[in-house]
Amino acid sequence: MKKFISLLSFEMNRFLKFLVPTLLVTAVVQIFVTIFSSLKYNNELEKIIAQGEQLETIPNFSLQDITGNGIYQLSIMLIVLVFVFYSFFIWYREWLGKNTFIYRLLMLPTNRTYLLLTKSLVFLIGGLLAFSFQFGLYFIELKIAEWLVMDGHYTLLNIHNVQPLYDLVQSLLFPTTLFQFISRYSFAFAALMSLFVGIIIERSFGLKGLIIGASYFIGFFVLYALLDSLLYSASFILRPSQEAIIMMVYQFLVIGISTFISHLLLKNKIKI
Amino acid sequence: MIEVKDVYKKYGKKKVLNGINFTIPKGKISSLIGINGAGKTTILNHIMNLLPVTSGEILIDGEKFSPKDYEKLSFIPDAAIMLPEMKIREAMDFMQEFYDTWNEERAQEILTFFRLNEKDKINTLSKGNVAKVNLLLGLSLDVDYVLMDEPFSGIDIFTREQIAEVFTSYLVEDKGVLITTHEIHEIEFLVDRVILMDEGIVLREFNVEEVRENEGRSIVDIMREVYMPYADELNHHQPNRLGK
Repeated sequence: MKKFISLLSFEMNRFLKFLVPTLLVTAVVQIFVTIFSSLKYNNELEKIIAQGEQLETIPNFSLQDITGNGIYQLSIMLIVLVFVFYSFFIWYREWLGKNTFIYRLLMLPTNRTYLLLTKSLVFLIGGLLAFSFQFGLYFIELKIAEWLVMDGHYTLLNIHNVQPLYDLVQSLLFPTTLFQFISRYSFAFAALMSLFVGIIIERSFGLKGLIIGASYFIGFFVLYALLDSLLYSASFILRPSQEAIIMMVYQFLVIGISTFISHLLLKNKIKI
Repeated sequence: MIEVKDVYKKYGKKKVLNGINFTIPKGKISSLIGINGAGKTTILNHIMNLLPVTSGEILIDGEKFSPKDYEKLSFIPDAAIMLPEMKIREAMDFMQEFYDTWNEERAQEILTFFRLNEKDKINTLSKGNVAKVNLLLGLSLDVDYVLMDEPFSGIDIFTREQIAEVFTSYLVEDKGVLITTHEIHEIEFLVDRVILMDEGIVLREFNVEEVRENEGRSIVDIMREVYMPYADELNHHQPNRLGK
C-alpha cells in the first residue's frame, strides 16, 4: 500500500505540472472575460443613459453574460483538451526518447497493475480538482461582476440556470444529483479505462495491437450507444432510473474487464 | 543462480535467441560477449522480465520470475532510465522510496567516488556521467544479482577506469554479475567467466582463470578460435572490398 501511495503521489505530481498551469491560464482568461464583460455592460448602460432611454430596455447582467462568451467557453475546452491529450501522453511519454522511463516503472518491485490504477486515479483526482477549481472560479467571477456592474443591474443566477455550454460538458461539470454525478463520472472513467486498455494492447502487440486496441476503445462507445437505444426502445417497461442503473452496470463492467485485461497484459505481455 | 533455459526469441522472421542456455551463479562476474545483434540486450531484458519469455524459461534461484525479484536483481542499462529532468538526488530519493534494498550510505560513497553532484539534473550530464549515475542507482541496491548492459560503451578512458574499479570493489562482492560488453580488454582481468554467443546460442562458456593458467590463452584468443570460422565463412560469401 505504501508503494501504491508513493506511485500515486509521483504520478499526481507529474500531472499537476500540466494541470496547474492550465487552470491558471483558465483562471486568468475567465477573470479577464468577467471584467471585460462587466465593463462592457456598464458602458452600454452609460450609452443608454446618455441617450436618455429607459434602462429597463437592457436586461440585467448575470453569470450567463460571462459564460456565454466564446473565449470563456474556449478556456473550459482547454481544460478538457489537456485531459484528452494527457490520457494518451500519460502512457506514451514513458516510451519517449532515449531515457525510457518505462524500464524503471516496469522494474519497480510492486504489482504492475499499480501503474494502471495510479494513472487512472490521477485522472479521477485531477478531474475532481479541475471541477472544484472551476466551481470556485464561478463564485469569484460572480463577486467580481457584482462589484463592477452598476448597482441594481445585476442578477445573481444559480449555476444550474446558466445556459449549458455543451450539454455533456455541462452535465459532467454540474450534475444535479449524486446519482447523476456517479453516472456521468463512471461513464468518463469507463471511457478512460477502455482507452488505457487500448494503449496497453498496442504497447504489447505493436501494429496488430493498435488495431485491436482501437477496436476495443471504439467498441465501448458502440456498445454503449446500442445499449442506450435498446433501453430507449424498452422505455415503456423501464423507468429512467432503472435505465440509468443498467447503463451504470455496463460502465462498471467495462471498468472491471478493462482492469483485468490490463493486469494480464502488464504482467505477461507488455514490452519495453 | 539465474538459469536461462532454452529461450527462443524472434523479431518478425529474424531469430535472435535460438534456444539459448546458460547460468549466472552468485559470487562470480560473468561476461556475455557477442557481436552486434547477437541478442545480448534481448537476453538481459528477458531476465529482467522487460520482454516476456514466450518460449523457454528463466529461473531466479530456482523459481519463476515475480515482482519481488526486483529486490534481488538490479539492471544497469546503457542509457539513463530515470526522468531526464530529475536531479541525481531526486533519482536517489525515488529509488529509496520504492526499493527496500536501497542503501543510502553506499549511495553516498558511490556519489563521492564518482565525483557526482547530487544537485545536477540528469539531462545536463555527459554520457560518462550518465553511466556513473546508472551505476550509482544500480549498485546502491543490496541485491543478489547485477546485470549491466555495455557499461563501457562510449565512455572516456578515465571514466572507464573508474567503472572498472567498481568490479574489484566490495560493491559487487558476493553478487552474481553479468556484463555485456565489446570492450574485452577492459574486462580481461575483471571477469571470472565468459559466455560467448552468436546467432542466438552459446558457442562456448569458460572460466577465464582456468583457461589462462591451463592453456595460457586470453579471452581474445578463445574468441578468435570460436568466431574466426564464422568470419572466414563471411569472407568467403562476401569478399573483402579491397579484393584481398
